[in-house]
Amino acid sequence: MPGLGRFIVARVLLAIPTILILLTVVFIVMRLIPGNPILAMVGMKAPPEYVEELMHKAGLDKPLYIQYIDYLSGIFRGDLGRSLIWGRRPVIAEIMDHFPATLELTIFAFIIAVILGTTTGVLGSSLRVIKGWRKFDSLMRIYGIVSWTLFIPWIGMLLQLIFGVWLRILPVAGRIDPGLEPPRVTGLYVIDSIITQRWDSLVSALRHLILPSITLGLVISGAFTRIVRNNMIEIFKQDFMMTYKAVGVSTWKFISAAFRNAFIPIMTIMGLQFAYLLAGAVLTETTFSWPGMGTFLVERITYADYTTVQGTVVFFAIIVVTINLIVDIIYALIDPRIRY
Amino acid sequence: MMPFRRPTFIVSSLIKTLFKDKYPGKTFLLIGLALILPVILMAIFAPFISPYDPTKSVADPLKPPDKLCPFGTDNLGRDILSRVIWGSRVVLAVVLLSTALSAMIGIPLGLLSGYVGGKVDRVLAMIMDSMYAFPGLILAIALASVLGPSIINAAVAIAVVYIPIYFRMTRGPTLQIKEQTYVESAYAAGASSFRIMFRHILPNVVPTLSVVLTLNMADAILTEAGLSFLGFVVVPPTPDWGFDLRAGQPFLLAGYWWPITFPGFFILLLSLGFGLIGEGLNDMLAGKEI
Repeated sequence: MPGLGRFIVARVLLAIPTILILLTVVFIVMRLIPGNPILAMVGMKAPPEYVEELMHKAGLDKPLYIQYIDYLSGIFRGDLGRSLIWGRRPVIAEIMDHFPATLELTIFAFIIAVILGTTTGVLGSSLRVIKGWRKFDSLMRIYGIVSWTLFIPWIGMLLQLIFGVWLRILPVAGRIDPGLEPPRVTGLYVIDSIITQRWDSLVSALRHLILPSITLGLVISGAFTRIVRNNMIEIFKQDFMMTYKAVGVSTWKFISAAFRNAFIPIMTIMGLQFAYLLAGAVLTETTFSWPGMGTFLVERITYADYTTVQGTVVFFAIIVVTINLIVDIIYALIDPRIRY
Repeated sequence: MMPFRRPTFIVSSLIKTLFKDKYPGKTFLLIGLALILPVILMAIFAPFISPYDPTKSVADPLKPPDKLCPFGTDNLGRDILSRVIWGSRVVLAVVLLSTALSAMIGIPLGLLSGYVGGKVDRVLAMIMDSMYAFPGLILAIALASVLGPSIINAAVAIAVVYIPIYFRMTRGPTLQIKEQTYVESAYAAGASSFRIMFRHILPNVVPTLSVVLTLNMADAILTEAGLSFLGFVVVPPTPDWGFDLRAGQPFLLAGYWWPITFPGFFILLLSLGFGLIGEGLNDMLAGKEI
C-alpha cells in the first residue's frame, strides 16, 4: 500500500507544525501572567530567598528563549516539569492520576451522544425522505439545535436535582462510593472492576457515571444529529439510491443502505469532535465533582500552580492533535479515495 | 457611494422583510428574535425594571419564589430576578465585545490571507488551523486565568478562541471570489488591493459571515457562561448568570431549586435564540430548509 504509507507519513509530518504552534501558543499565554507567577502563588510576604529558590527550580530565572527551549525539549522527553505545590510531584504523574477519570467519562458520553445523535439524525432524514414527514424532521433538527445550545452545568444540575435530590436514585458527585475503588490496572473503574471481578465496585462506578455522561452526551449529541442528518440527506439524493429505490427494496433495506454509505464520513466527523468533548468534560467534571483533568486544571488554577496548569493545557493539546491524527489515518484505511 | 438612508427607514424595511409572507427559515428567525429581544431589552433597561438592588440582601435567604421575589432569593437573601436582569448586562457585554474583537481581527486576516496567497497564506492558515483544533474553552480558561477575572479580560480570552473561525470562514470564500471576473476587472481598472479586498470581495462574504456570526454568538454565550461558572469573569457580588449558577449549586443538594434554575434558563434562552437565528439565516441564504 504505497498510497497509504505515503498518506500516513504526510499526515504525521503535518501534525508536527500543528503541535509546535499549539505548544508555542500555550507558552506565550502562560507568560502573559502579569508580574511574577511564583510571587503570585506564595504571596508578597514570602522571604525573597524562598521566592528565588522556587523561581530557580521552575527555571523562571533564565532568559525567555532558554525557557522556551527547555520547555519544548522537556515536552519531547515526556517531562512537563514539577508541580509548585504539595511535594512538587512531576506534573505528568499528577496528570496520569486524573486522566483515566476524564477518559472514562468521555467514552461513555461519546457512546450516549452517538446513540442519541444517530437515532435522531437517521429517523429525521429517513422519515422525511421516505414518508414525507417534514414536521417530524424539523423536530429532530430542533432537537439538534436545542441540545447544542444547552449549558452543561445547568442541565447537569437539573439532572442532579431530579434524580439525586427529588427521586434520590442516583449519586450526584464523585466517581465511585468511598472504599469501593478497584485496584488500579487501567485506571478506568468500569474496566478495572470487571478485570478484578469486583461487582459492587462495577455497580457503583456505573451508577456514578450515569448523570455526568448523560449530561455531556446529551449536549454533544446535537452536533451528531446535524452531522448524521445532513450526510444522510446528501446520500438520499444520490442517483444510486434512486435506482435502489426503483428496484423496490424494503424501506428498512433502503435506510440501512443509505446509512452504510453515510457511515464513514459520519464516523470521521464524530471522531473530530473529540476536542469539543474534552472542553465539555471540563464543565461536566466541575459540576459533578468528577476527579478528572478538568476539575484538576481548575483546582490548580486557584492555587496558581503555574507549571501544572501549563503542563495540563499542553497535555490537552497533545491529546487532541493525536486523536485527530488517528481519526484521519483510520479514515484513510477505510476509504481508499482519501489516500491520494 | 451608498445612498443616504434614514436609520428609521432601514429598520422599518428590515422589519417588513422579516415579516414578509414566506421565505425559508422564517420560523427559526422569528422565534430566535423573540427569544433574544426580551433579554436585550432587559439589559438596556435594567435600572428601570429591576425590582431591587442585585447586590443587597432584601429578604430572608433562600426564600422560595413568591409575589415579592418572583424568582426567590439566593443564599444571601438577594433577589434572584434582579440578579438575572443585571446579569444579562455582563453576559451581553462580554459576548458582544468578544465577537466584535474576533471578527475585527479574524475577517481582515482571512481576506488578506486568501487574497495575497503564497507563503503568507500558508503560514497564517497553518497557525489558525492549529488553534482551531484546540478545545476552545480550555484555551479560554488558560487565558482568562492568566489575565485575571474581569469583563474585558474574559472578552479578550473568548475573542482569541474564535478568531480562527472568522479567519477560516472569510479565507475560504475569498479564495473562490478572487478568481471571479469582476475582481479581475477591478484589478485591471487599477483598483488597489485594499479596495479589492474590502469593496469587491468582503461584501460577497458578508452573507456567509452573518450565519457564522450568529451561530458563533450562541457558542460565545456558552463559553462566557462556562468561564463565569468557573469564576473567571466577575468577582462577587457582581451578578452574572454562570457565576450565580455556581454559587447556587451547594444549596441545590438541599432541594433549593430556584437559585440555579432561573439564571440557567436565561443562558439557554439567549444561546438558543442566537442558534435559531443562525439556522434561520442559513436557510434563508440557501433558499431552502436544510
